[in-house]
Amino acid sequence: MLANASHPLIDGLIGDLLDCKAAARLAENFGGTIDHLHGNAIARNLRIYQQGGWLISSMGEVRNRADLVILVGEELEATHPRLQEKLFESPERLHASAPPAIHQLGHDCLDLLSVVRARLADKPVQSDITGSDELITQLSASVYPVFVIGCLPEQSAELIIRTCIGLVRDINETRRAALLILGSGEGDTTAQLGTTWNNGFGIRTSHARGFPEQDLEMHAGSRLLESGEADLLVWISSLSTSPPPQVRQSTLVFGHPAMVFTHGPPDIFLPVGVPGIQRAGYLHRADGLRMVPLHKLVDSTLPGSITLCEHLISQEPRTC
Amino acid sequence: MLTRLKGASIYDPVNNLNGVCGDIWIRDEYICEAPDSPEKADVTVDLEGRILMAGAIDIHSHIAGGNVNNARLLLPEQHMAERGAFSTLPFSAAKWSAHDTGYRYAEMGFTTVVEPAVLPINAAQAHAEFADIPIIDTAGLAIVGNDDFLLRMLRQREEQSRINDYLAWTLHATQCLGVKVINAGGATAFKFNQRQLLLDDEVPMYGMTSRQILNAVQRAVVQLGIRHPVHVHCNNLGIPGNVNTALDTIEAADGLPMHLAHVQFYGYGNDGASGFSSGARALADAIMKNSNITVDIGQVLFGQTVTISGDVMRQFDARHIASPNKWVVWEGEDGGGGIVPFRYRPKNFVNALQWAIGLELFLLIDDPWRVFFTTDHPNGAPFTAYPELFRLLMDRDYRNQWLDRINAKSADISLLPHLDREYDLNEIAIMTRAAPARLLGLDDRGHLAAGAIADIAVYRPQADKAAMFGKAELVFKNGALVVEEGKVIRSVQGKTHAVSPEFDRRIETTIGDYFDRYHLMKMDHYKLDPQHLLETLGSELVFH
Ligand SMILES: [Zn+2]
Repeated sequence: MLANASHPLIDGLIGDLLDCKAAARLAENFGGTIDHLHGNAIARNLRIYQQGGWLISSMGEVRNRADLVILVGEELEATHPRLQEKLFESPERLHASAPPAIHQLGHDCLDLLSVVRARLADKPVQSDITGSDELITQLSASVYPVFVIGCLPEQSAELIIRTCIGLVRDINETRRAALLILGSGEGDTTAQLGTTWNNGFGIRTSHARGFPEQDLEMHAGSRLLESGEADLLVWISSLSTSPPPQVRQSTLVFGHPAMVFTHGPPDIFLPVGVPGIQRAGYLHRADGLRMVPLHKLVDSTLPGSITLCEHLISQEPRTC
Repeated sequence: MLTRLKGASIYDPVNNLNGVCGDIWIRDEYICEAPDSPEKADVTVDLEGRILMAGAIDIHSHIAGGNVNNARLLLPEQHMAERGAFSTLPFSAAKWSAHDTGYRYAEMGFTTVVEPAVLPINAAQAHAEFADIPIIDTAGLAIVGNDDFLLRMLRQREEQSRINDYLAWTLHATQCLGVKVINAGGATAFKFNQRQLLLDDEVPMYGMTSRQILNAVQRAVVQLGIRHPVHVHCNNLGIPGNVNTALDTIEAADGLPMHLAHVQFYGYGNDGASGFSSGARALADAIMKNSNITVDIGQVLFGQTVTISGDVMRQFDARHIASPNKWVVWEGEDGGGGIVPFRYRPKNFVNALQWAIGLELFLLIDDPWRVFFTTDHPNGAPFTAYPELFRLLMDRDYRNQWLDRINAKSADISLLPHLDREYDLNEIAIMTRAAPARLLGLDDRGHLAAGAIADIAVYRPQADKAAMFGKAELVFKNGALVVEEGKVIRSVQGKTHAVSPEFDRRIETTIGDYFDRYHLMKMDHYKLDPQHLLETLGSELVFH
């Protein structure tokens, strides 16, 4: 199937570093494209990053030093369970005696953030907004405020993040502040960082023309499937039992052994070892600063996806 | 398998071979004595008229780790791939990838490269990237001096032996070859909103100076017997007048071994109408006078690049000069860093003078055993520009042509027109082979005696030294032929080098407790386990 496909899409990537390396290798060898389940959110953040950069903190710094946390996004608990407990409620902190003040902002916080940014920069605002006084007072009183950004609705996410980046930049002209961007989980950070040192760019990189090209719009997995430009879906998901999307293309799955196929089985299902249970591996922490080692807990005969991929590549190596 | 490399001009300063015509014999992975009869060779390669050296070693090049990888992501426009670049080697068309790094270094005859800034908390990623860099051997230097645990020990005036234990533990936890200090206390001071930290300034919250941190780390390295001296990125990088910081740091070394990194960025006076001048003469004099000091240059070469540094204070300060206009600053548990793209322009007064100061230092420091060939890749220039640097050092006429093309005022005040020195092949072999191996404590390379690793580069002599050193005619890595006519023909897996000094294991009780109290992970999960690295990343560690 891989050898006959003219443009395989390697998607999902709900796995660890080794799964992501396997994906990058497959894409290169078979002239395909890689993307992640949360490709839209990764691509949006990457676009913002590539346009201007940002000033960020780490999870450890928030845990030990932040005296004010502005939570941007409402469902942090769902994407990052135990975050509250680990980052904001630690009994002992390096540079503070009390836990940080938490200021929760809802999904509709764009206007508030814009007004706060303008007012802090002494720029005139057309109309003030409820809550800006309170946030300004808190920001002014804190030594190290951190904007923690979780999942945001697609239509407002970009502007909210850009406003937070600008606000943090402004504050840092005279004082300190930072962002902590947490992403969507499910291996998104590893998929992005771990493929970058292989293909140079990360996800949404295509090898269809024989060399890596990133295009955050054109190489979106969902678009390639809908348009039919991709003629084979390779779904890699060693960490999640959720099935691949239902598509008209043939589907090959390197999947969690307990994967449940609600719409019927794919053309080929290759169960693979689960990192952290059946094999060792590495997964990035949500802030990307640290790779967490995963250990093998039980003996298993299931191969890792990278072993399978290397085997497939050795059967059908690139010749040009 | 026994290979005879026959009749090349051999440059092997360690064994006093300065262009002597002779044979080098390789048995499997190592250089061996010549057998009693030349007929025993399985393969004979006729190298008459060629120049043969040990594989080159780069002691300071940012090739791996989170800061480098995030720079790749920030600047896709700097490494767009091109049609037709592909071959059968994995990721050979992916520019600035881990693979590309290995292939491009190998083509020039480099076989060992050191990443000088491994942040301990990010060490696993650095090793993951090392493992994906083909052909060349790698090593990392672990960053210390902004980690709360060390600063806390110093604040509590712990005994030096405890500090030694902690540093040895850090090397054990990160699997690195040595330690690096970046603007000691600077990242910490920046956390508390300080924007500059001088050598004798106190680090806020901790009550000790940058100098005291540096001295404690230096003593630990000496007392632990780590071969590579403390690798120092001084305070005040890039600031006019900072030559005094470098001079003070040399004095602070107090006769003990110390390596000063990318000293070009500290060769700045503040004389003249623009308040920016060359401090190269004073710096070179001090280096010549203090034989305990080694330096690498961090040469600037003109063109687009990106600065990637763990000096978060400096990188934040440089945000205004970002070109293109985007920058990243980040901070973490034991330090921080920043990414600022930059274009060095020959007609710009400051850039042209930076270029000249680097070359002045290369030419004024008359001891190739103590001055090292670097561009601080990619901070002064990407390592792929090394051929140009070889030519500038070896060809005075070429240098002088450049003096006519750079900013006239910079050319005017530069010492370069008065410096006639040209590096010869023996000096190049010292600076890029023999001396780096000695400085890093890698006794099995940098020379061609029997028993050494068969890392060998063969060049075709040419008047154009850039062409000569840009594409090696042949390169052997561990005895395997990997490059022919400047092109990689085979990829092999490189190894990663590390040290593991002894320490009192009882310190792990204290560190473990500290992790439980302040970190998001257990100490045991923080430490890299060689077996786990091998099993997951395929990373093969060699201990020295
Ligand atoms: Zn450097």
